Amino acid sequence: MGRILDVLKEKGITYYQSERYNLDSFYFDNYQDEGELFEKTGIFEDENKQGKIIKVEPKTTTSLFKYFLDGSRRTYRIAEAEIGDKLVPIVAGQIGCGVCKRLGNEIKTHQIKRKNCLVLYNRISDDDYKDIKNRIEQTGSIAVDRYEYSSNMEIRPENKAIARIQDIMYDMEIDLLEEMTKKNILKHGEMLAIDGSLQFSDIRDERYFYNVVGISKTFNPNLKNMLKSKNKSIGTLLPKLEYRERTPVFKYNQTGENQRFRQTIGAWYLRIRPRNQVKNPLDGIVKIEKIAVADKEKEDGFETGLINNISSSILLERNVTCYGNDSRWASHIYPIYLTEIMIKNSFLSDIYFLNIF
Amino acid sequence: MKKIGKVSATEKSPTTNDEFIFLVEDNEEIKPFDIIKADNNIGDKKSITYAIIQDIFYITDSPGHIGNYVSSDFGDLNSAPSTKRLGVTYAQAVVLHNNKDVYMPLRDGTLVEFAGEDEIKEALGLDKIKNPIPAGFLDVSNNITVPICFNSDFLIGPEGAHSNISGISGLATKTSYAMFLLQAIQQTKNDVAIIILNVKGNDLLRIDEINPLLTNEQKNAWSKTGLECKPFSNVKYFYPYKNDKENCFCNTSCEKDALNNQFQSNMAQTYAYTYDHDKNNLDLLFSNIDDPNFTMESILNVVIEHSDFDDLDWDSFKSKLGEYTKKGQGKGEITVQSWRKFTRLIKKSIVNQIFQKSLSKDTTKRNYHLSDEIKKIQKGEALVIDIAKLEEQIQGFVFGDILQAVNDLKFGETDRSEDDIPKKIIIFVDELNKYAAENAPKNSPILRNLLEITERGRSEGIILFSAEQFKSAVHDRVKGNCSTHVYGRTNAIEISKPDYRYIPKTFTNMMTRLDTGELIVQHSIFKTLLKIKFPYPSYFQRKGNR
Repeated sequence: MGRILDVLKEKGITYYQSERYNLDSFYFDNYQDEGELFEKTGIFEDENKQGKIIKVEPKTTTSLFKYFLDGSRRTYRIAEAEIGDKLVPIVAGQIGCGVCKRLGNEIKTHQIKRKNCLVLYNRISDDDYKDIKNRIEQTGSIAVDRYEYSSNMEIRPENKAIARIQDIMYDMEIDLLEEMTKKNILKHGEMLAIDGSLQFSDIRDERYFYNVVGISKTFNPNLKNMLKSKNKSIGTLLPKLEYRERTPVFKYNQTGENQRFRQTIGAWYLRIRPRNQVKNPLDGIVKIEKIAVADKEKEDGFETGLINNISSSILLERNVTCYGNDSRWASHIYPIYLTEIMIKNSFLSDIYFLNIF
Repeated sequence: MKKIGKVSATEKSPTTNDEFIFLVEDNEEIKPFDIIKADNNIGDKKSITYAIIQDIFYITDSPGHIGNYVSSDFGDLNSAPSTKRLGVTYAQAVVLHNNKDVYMPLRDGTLVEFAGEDEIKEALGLDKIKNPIPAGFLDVSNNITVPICFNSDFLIGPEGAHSNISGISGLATKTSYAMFLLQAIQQTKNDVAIIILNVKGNDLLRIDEINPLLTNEQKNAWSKTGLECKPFSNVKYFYPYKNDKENCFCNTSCEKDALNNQFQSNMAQTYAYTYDHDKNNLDLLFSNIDDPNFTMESILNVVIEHSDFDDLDWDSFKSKLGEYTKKGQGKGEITVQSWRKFTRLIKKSIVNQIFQKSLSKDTTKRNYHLSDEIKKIQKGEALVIDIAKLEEQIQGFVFGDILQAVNDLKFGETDRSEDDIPKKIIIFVDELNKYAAENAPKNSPILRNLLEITERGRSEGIILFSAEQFKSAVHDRVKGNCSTHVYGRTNAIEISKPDYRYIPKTFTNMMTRLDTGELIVQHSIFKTLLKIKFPYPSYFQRKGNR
């Protein structure tokens, strides 16, 4: 038995050390843009109020993107414990967040943050939790946190624990953005691309996102309110999008429950691979999100020229690809893929990590 | 020293006590045969592991060529990606030595550096070589040149001996390297004598003259090896006799001026064979004749022992043989057909002018029996025997005669005192495959002599330096007894032969790409094969030669 779980035993928490296993195939991720509520026909760019499909012309051979941010986590069920009259899982996770930067045409590590954590059911007594947290965190290698769960939720406790670990990861990503903004690293021609949606639980300060876009490989095709026809979802338009074409920018507001500030976000879709070169109708399309930071942007939407330039840069990023290594290659941006690989390679092996506990 | 990479150990490719993989710094250039080092610290014990680079690879994260095709916009040759595909150069290195005898595998992440000159010597064990004989130099990627030496005890005995050089013709590397080694021996040893056979052209017939084509850089290369750049000294030339006054009575390709000079300075002689002196060696003419029923041997016994064949000369010998070839004249168990075959072979050979009634007393001809002269060989001398213009079976005859003479000398069948005889006699012969072919007849007298030398000559101080185009064409027992093997450039067919089975693939592949003046050497006391260079010949070269 590991020393870390002994701390629970000392607090009188009964736990059963059943089989320990990786939970990553257990939890089915929702679409990253689940829950986005777009404003009805809220076209959010200044020169395309009619909401036309725009063909993005290549204007430059240099991408605007210099930095690429991604976060990754691995989660494991360590044991089951009797807490608050329930038998609930104890879940541990390895979290990594990192930024890669482009130097010439090569990708190098800019920064990487790692955290190992243990999440417990939150109905543990506050005093016991504080003690347990102090004792375990003293070892220096594991952070302790809590997840909420109620039996009337239509979700398994493991998923709630994983969601908590995911939130910790998002916080680490914002930490990285905060550091880079404070060091004035992100500039207009040296933008940062985040893997996925910008739906962070707490964005803290929208100025961190001034030169940042989120690029999602997968998205909910059934989002509504974007097209003129009331009940049509965006998924009916996207398969018709030709190579290099983009949709207009649509507007929605950040509605996360922990948001301290309300953000206005613009989202658009861009096809980065010809339709005849992909297997499925939505393959090769990326969803791009950008937070409106300047007042003018918040009111009138983004400049169409800027959106075209960003789209043009993303088209420049379409090669090389991770074809053969990742089934999502058609919508994946290679530098982001490399960032993900960098983070995953920083993780401890499963067998090593599980034996810490 | 400059860091060039980092050890990488993985689940599927662990480091071992014998080898490891290291990732190479992006802009670093390395080569196979470079010597590298890495700290190998176990607990408080600090040591250095040395290794030699064997293979170099570059991989990318693309799982297949289709991935690369897709990544160039489905085969668009003009597509220019913003990001270079993730790729890494890695090298496989074979451990040579650890300075504290630590056999633990290197750990993942250990930094790798080029070894310096002294460290390379330590890694290869060159720092402890006794009785060194310069063997060339090693040029490694970090602009370091390290002189390489053979251990004399393993090159010319008593611990090991004989060396074999193989490689295709035309690069002038095999002969040049053998001559370099002989030069090194002549400069460093004073109790050794050398016999060189000139088997083709006139390349080795002016080895006492300085090379007029040498540049200063080439001269400096000699000092890198610790040797003086000078031609051979104490040289004597032996040419086959021919009644050709214009050519100093020599059957040779040597230029007339050089020949005249050699005769004027008493450096050259002619050699000839007379019946009464040499009939016992007639078997040497039959070295490459298959004789499964020993009929030729039986005839030779009759020639040596029967009084019919006493007191003849070559012409009367032929007449006498003629008597035996007449119908009904078969004697004993030997058939007339066998006598006819023997006579035909003899007649074919002894038409050459080196077969004389008797040696000429004319002092201008300087006519001698070769074996007698060889038995007079002195310490420090280099005898060059020209056989280039002789027919193949006569070349074999002369070579066999030389081997026999050296054997006789070293096995005490002369009047010379032990101290007077050179301690070691080195015989260098090119085209060894002619005399010790893989498929040579078992009873070939030359092969027998060569086996005697390579298997037992080491203890008697008879050392064979040999060369040939293809090592695989040479008799196993002859090459198997060599303690030093040198490989020049060869071809892909040759490296597929069993002789190269135990040489790592990278090294054999490299053998097909070696340049002029580059060789791969295998020496008993070296821990690995080494790719070395050696200086340009210091003796006379014609334009166009190396």
